[in-house]
Order: sequence, then C-alpha cells, then structure tokens
Amino acid sequence: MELSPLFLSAKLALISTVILLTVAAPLTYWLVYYPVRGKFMIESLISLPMVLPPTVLGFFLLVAMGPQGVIGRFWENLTGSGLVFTFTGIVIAAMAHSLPYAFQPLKTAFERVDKRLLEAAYVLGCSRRAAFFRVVLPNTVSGLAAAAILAFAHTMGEFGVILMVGGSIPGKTKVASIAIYEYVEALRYKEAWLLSLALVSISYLILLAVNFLNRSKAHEA
Amino acid sequence: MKLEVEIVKQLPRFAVNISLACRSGELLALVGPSGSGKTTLMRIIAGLDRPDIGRIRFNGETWLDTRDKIDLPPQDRNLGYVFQEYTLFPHLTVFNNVAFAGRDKKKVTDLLKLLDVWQLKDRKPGRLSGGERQRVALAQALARDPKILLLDEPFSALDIVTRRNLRKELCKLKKEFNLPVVHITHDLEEAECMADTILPMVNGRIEKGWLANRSEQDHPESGASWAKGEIVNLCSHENFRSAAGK
Repeated sequence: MELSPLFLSAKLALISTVILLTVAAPLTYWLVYYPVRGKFMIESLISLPMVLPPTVLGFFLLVAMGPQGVIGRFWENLTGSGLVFTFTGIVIAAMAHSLPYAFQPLKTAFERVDKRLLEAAYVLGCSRRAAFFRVVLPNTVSGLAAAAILAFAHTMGEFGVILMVGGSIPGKTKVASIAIYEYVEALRYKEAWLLSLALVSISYLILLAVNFLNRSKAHEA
Repeated sequence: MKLEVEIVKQLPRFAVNISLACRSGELLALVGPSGSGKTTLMRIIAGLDRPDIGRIRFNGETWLDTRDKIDLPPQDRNLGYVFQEYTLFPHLTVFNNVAFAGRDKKKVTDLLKLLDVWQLKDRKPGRLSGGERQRVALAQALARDPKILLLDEPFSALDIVTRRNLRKELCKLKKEFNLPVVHITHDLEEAECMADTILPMVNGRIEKGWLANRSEQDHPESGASWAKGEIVNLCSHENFRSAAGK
C-alpha cells in the first residue's frame, strides 16, 4: 500500500487547520465583539459550505482559482504560478470548506467569555487587540481545541472539493480519501481497507489526545 | 485634582441626570436603592457607556464632551475600577492579575503586601474567598497608578465581618493614595462609615428626600436635620455623625 496519500492528507489537514485558525479566530472575534453591519449575512455566508454539495463549492473554487478567476489571477501576479491542481490550491479549498466547522465552536466559545472581563481589561489600559490575545484566547482554549479538531478531522476526510480543485496528482494533490476512492474503483479492496483503517485510527488518536488534554485542563482549573 | 461629571442618559424607566464633583482624597458615596442608575453613572465615568449628553473633566482634562464629540476610550482615562462582581482574570494567578496593567514587579509585590494577599500570589482567582478576591481586585485597580478610583458596590457580596475589615482598609488606602474615590452602595451604613460626601441617588437623580426618609427610619431622632434636605459634604466620619444628630 502506498502511504504518501495518507501523509499528504495529514500535511494538508495540519497546514490548513493552522492557517484556518489564524484567520478564523480574529474573524470570529470581530463578528462577536464588534458592532458589525449585516452580521447575520456574513455568518450565513461563512456557514454556506456546510450545506452546499462539495462539488458545487469545488466548482466555484475551481472557477475562482483558475487562470481567469479573481483568486487565481491575484495569486499568479503575486507568485508567478497558478493555484489549480497544486497543493497550495487544495490548502485554500480545504480552508474554505472547513471554515464553518471552525467558526461555530469558536463563536460559541467567544460568546461564553464574560464580557465584563473584557471591560475590566479595557479599564486596565488593555487595547481591544491586546484583550483578544490576553483575555479572550486564554479563556477559550477548549473552543480553540474543538475548532482545530473539527477542522482537522474534516480536512482529513475531505474528498469532493479537493478532487474538483486539485484533481488526483500523486504526491501533490492525491490525498487519502481520493486514493481510497481510486482503490475501490480499481477493485483493490485490501488497500482501500488498510488506508481506511489508518484514517480511522489517526482520527481516533487525535480525538483521544484532545479529550485527554481537555480533562487535564479541567482538573487544573 | 478634581473630577467633574455632568451627564444625562435616558434609560428605559427614567433618565440618569447627575452632576457631581469629587476632589483628591475625598470619598464620595452615591447611595441609593438598586436600579437607580448608579452603575450606569460609574460605567459612563469609566468610558464603558456613553451618555446622551454630558461632560466629564478630570483636573482640567476633558474625558468626555458630547458637544465637542470628545470621548476618550476607557484605556486612556487611567482610572481604577473595582466592579460589583468579581472580574479577576480566571486564567491568571493573583500576582499576574495585579500585574495585568504592566506595572513593575516591585510595585505589584508592594500592593499585594499592603492588601495582605501576598501569600496568595500563586493562586488562581477560583481558589480565593470573596474577601480575598476583592482585596486582589483593589490591588489590581491600584496597580495602574489610577487618577481616580471607582468602587461599584465592592463589598455587597461579602459577609459582615469581611465587609467591616475591608471598609477600614479602604479608608486607610484612601489616605495613602490621596485619590478622588467615587463609591456606590445601597448600604447607608457603609456610606456613613466611609464617605466624606454622601449623595443619595434615586431613579437617576440626586434625591435629598430619600436620605431624609431613610435616616428617619433608621434613626428617628436625627430625621429633622436630614429633612432640611441638605446634601451632606462633611470632612470626616465624626462630623457626619454629629451632623446626623447622633
């Protein structure tokens, strides 16, 4: 059995989760704590990938990231290379598809932070940005962990969007779920079984580790 | 140093319409029943709420002027605010809570020792008693070298013994730091014990009659002097008591 799709999936999930959290946490903070006009419209837009068929989202992303698309042209001007059928392209696609899965737990966690703590921080001279790092983030560790797990797990099993944007290029865009699909199509059930079991084990171990960390944190408090 | 406040803010049931001044070393107590707009007033002074119209000046510096569209954020007003509910940061130790405003370690150490919570410096707020938390909250508010101190019913959730001890400590601190202190409470006895000036506040306004009625209920023999409706501005607790006819 070829292991590279499994490593590629893990690499994709790790990179996209880290970048996604860096983007999603301030975005969610802004939506929760600032008086934003049309907040519900923005939130609905963020949640849209949850209800869209992956092929539809994948199609839009393919068009947007293509040579004539807004994102594709911007990227090409910036780096000189395209996005479609590249690893960078599938990182962006995975982030777009996982955004609502990170956004929801982050939003719940941020809303639970006692707003009086933020006011106390402001009165103590702390700016809004500093309050995000010094008060909000340390008090939303479990929400951040939940967002990271959901985004990571979701990306590990991502199929439709990645196939649309990245195709199936071995070593570049052929992730585990696409490899499993191809094994099944070629009636290579043994490889499909092994890769599927490996995916299940990795996902389960991650969940175990995070639950263990959460329990230790709860005992500490 | 003098804090001057003139504000009007419409609330659902009434409008808070207050004008007051507080000098260095003076403890001004706003006394009144719950829901009379005291906390709203404090939040406006701190910059956490905005009045409909008004002006707040501190020592000649304008913090808020709705006519000139000046409204300094809470970060720039440099005041200490002890909230009604405990607002210590749960993820930080006592030491780091007091050091939150970024003061040097020596200053934090001195304050923790002054307020008798040095031995608790490594504990998280979740493992402190109510009295200990309010001591730490006071240290935290003072650690910023504030220009004024706002106390929003800081003792309301404490037992009577702890409350009395903290009152004494606060009176000592007031002398030591020589700050204007605005203290709100619904407890007239607490105000009597600590304040230089008492302003009775009901439904968003200074209501002289409320204090007279309360005084008559609590001390019938002193009612006549209160009934004249003078807002008291006394220099010491002893003066206050003699003026009240005790």
